[in-house]
Amino acid sequence: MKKSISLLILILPLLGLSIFAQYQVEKRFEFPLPSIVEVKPSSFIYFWGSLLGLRRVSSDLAWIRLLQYYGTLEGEEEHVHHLHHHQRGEYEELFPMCQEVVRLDPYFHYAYLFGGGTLAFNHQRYDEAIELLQEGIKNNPKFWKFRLYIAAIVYTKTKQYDKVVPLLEEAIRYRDCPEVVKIFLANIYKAKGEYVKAIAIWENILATNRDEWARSAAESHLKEMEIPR
Amino acid sequence: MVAIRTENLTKIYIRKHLFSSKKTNALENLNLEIEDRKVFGLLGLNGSGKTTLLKLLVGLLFPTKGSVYIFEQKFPHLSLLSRIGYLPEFPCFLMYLTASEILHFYGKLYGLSTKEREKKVEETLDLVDLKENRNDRLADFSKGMLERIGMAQVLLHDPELLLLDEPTSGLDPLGIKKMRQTILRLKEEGKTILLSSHFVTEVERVCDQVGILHKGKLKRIIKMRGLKVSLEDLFTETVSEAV
Amino acid sequence: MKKIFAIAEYTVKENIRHKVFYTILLFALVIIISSVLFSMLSGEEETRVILDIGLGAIEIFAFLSAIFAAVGLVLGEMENKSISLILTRPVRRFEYIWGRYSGILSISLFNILLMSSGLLFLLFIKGWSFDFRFLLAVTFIFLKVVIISALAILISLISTSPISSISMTFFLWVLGHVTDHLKYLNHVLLEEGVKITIFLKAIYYLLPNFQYLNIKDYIGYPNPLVGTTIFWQVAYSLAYASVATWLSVLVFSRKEF
Repeated sequence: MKKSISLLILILPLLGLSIFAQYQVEKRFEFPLPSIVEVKPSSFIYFWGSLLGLRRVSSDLAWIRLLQYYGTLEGEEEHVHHLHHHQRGEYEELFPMCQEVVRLDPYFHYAYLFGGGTLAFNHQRYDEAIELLQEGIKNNPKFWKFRLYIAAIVYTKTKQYDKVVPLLEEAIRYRDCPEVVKIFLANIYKAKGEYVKAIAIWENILATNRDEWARSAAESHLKEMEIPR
Repeated sequence: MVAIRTENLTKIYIRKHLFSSKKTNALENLNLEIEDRKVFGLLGLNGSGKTTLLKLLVGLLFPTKGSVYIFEQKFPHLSLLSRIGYLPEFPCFLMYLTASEILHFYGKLYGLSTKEREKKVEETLDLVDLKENRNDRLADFSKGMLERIGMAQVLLHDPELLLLDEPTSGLDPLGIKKMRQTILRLKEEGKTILLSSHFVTEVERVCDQVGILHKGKLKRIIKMRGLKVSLEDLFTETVSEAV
Repeated sequence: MKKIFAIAEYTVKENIRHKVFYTILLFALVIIISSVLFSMLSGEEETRVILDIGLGAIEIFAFLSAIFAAVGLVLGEMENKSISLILTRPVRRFEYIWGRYSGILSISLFNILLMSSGLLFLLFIKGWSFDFRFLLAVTFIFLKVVIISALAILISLISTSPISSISMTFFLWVLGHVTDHLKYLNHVLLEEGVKITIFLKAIYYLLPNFQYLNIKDYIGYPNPLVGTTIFWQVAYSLAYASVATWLSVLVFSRKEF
């Protein structure tokens, strides 16, 4: 009995310390992820993943599912031939899927850039693209590229391509620039008759992209432009 | 000197069920004195409380009432444990260790230095004829070899008091004979030995004194020297009397 | 101290001679390597996926091996009574528990170091640029294991079967990751007019809190932890784990074998 009491005397201050330390952590640091209950994930896998502390993995799985849904290159290929002729109904789930990815991981920068770029430049769904990027700004106020993209998208919407070009020229200088944006810029160049610049972008895609599809698309474009060149 | 003394030692097991609890009196008001340098045999039927008594003497069980003194010192006391060697009825080891590793491990628990330990482990392994197998894993040992390791861990730290729970159960005739020789040799060395058994003949051969335990009570203590009647008769008589 | 070390040492020995140990380690490495396959599906975000799956695998397998050691070895030893040959020597009950615990932690540390160096190697091959937050994430995975192993030992001392110990430990692991929801629940209940804030607060502080320690899930957060927060996180984990371990000692010292 005496032993138990002396052990309790040892345990209680330690318990106090653990509570105090936990309180100190909370005081200094607000937990930076929205509750998984509020996110309402579409699949129980993401839900359980988050409960097990694998939220980023869940977000990655949602991201891979998104890419498979969109079939990245299929989209690009269509885009190559019928620029600006996409129907609104196509890939309807794209926006909510992007939203799910970035709600599972609000700091997934590339997902915002990719989602915004694709929605705006491939599907002319400018409002959705801007909404997604604005969510990105809310979660990552210091990540300035979102603002750059929004500006480019707004000008694209109002067809002020002269103002779009310098913005996208800046965007494609960074490594995390999605292919959609490069292709869009190349097509603007082509439409404006600036073939040299367009060819430079296609050649850049050919050189940096590891994907067979993107490369063959770039090759076909280069071939197409050989005559005016 | 008195090696073991118990005062009103009582152990009641309480097994709790959902709504009721079942009490079993394993030992009742046991008063026992065992002199040192003697071999004391505890004789009793299965379930008579022999194992309970031995476990109380090494601190694996806590008495419900009463107290234990070992070498005139109140037990439990940590330093007393280095003077006791305990062999459980079914010794069970950490099977992933080798014979020498497990003895080294136990040696460390006595705070022996590396040098002392090495010497002791070699000696003990020699004593129980396991020198050849010192680097074999216990998982590969035969039953007889495990019994010998069991004895080795008792002798490792050269204890003054040995508590052996059914040391001959599960041994073959040769093993039993060897065990008997070991016990007699240890007695000559001046150790105190308390062993429990339900084999009357074994107890008869090695013990100076025998206590008959029945249903948790110490019924009788018999001095072997000058005993005129056979122990077996005495034992059966005592046990059937009690029924 | 010497005895604690001796018990820790044999815990490690026992563990590394167990097949389960290698199975867990091998499986973890297989998953880490196969994260490359997943990363191929992820477009431009290859290293991110390898990093996430890799850290996830490190944590899950460190957790599993800690559970195995705590439940399998400690409970196993009590069930097959080999513990009686340890406790009948001059070993205090707290030395046994702390020895076992530190042995389990040494194995976990070894596991985590091995797995994370494998992951780092893979990431470097894939052209990942080193980020110090990786080290922080790995350290905090270890802290989570420090807490859960202490709890696993406590649970296996209280419960009677390995299965109930494992499921209880698993349950606490999940609960520890959603402690924030208790605040949410409190908020909802208050709106309904039910006031059990103090009760919920007590639960909140008594449950292990893995959420904040789970840096690998918010490794991309732009305002990472600062020094003092890290200090309090570490203090929390150590204090919590020692509460659990001393409680184990309390339970264990009243146990009979």
